[in-house]
Amino acid sequence: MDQDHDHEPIASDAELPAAARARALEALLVEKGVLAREEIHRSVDWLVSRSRADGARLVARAWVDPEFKARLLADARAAAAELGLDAGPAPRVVAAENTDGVHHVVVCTLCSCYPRALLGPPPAWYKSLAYRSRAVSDPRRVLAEFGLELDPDVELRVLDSTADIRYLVIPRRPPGTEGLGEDELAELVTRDSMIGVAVPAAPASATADS
Amino acid sequence: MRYRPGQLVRVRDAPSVGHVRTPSYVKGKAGRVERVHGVFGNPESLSYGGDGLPGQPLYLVRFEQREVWSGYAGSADDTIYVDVYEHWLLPAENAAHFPGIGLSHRFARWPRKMLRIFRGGWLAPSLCSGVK
Repeated sequence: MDQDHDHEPIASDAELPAAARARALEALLVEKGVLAREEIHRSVDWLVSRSRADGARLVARAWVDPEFKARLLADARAAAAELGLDAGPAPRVVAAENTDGVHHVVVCTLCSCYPRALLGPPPAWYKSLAYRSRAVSDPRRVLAEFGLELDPDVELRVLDSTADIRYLVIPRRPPGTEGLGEDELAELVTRDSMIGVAVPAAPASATADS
Repeated sequence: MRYRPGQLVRVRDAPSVGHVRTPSYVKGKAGRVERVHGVFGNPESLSYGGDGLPGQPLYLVRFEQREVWSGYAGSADDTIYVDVYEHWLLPAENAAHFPGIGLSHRFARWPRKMLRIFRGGWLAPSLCSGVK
């Protein structure tokens, strides 16, 4: 490859300031003996291994089993353990159920707290200043921008996860899904529906049947 | 635990100095305890390498959106739930000179602003408040 031209390597041009800061912090923490590089890699591996699939399994089970749903609402960690799922180390996860009259939406105004163990890494917009500020002060318009027009009679509850609790929304089961099994139901449970900025859609076949 | 579910509380209206997990938009606002989460290490100590002791009870507090934001555009029934540590809460009845509940927002707030000036809180540094 021809290296003989005069500009800085692309890699350093493309590095975001936040990435450079993280790299500098990591180097310092390792140098001071606060953390081992392996611990950092283990944490990152664990985080990127998580996905919304675990949260979706919890929701699908709650849809088909009311007693499980009651246990999920009372103690999400214990309910996750029943399905062999790891709700993660601290902090604690609390589930919030959407009903005909109440819709929940989750935000972290102070940073980006999120039930990572059950949903994976948060999407970029969840961490944006625009979402974090507008989701608390003008939540109905934010939901409308996500394509969710909420009925004015529904109580919209914003959950600001400011402290040691992470919130997982249990969306409402879509109509026309009575014939679906738990695995098929879990496919319908999107990440955004467990944050509360969307609702799960019925599959096209179920809509056609109903 | 000083507070029970259903109890009316008010968030202290104090400057955020250091790493504080109480968002500015609920300071001075009245709400109702919805749930007691348990006792957790105090983040204002933990975040600086401290032991977080004494532990702080953490409450899920329910606020009416119209109480929190003047000119809130959504429905009258809309609410916002915020986790607040006990040392940031006051019993709402003890805040009798802040008769915010049921009265207009502006009328309830201005005497407190005066108090803040007298206490010197007006000039206190706010290193990390609200959205960072």
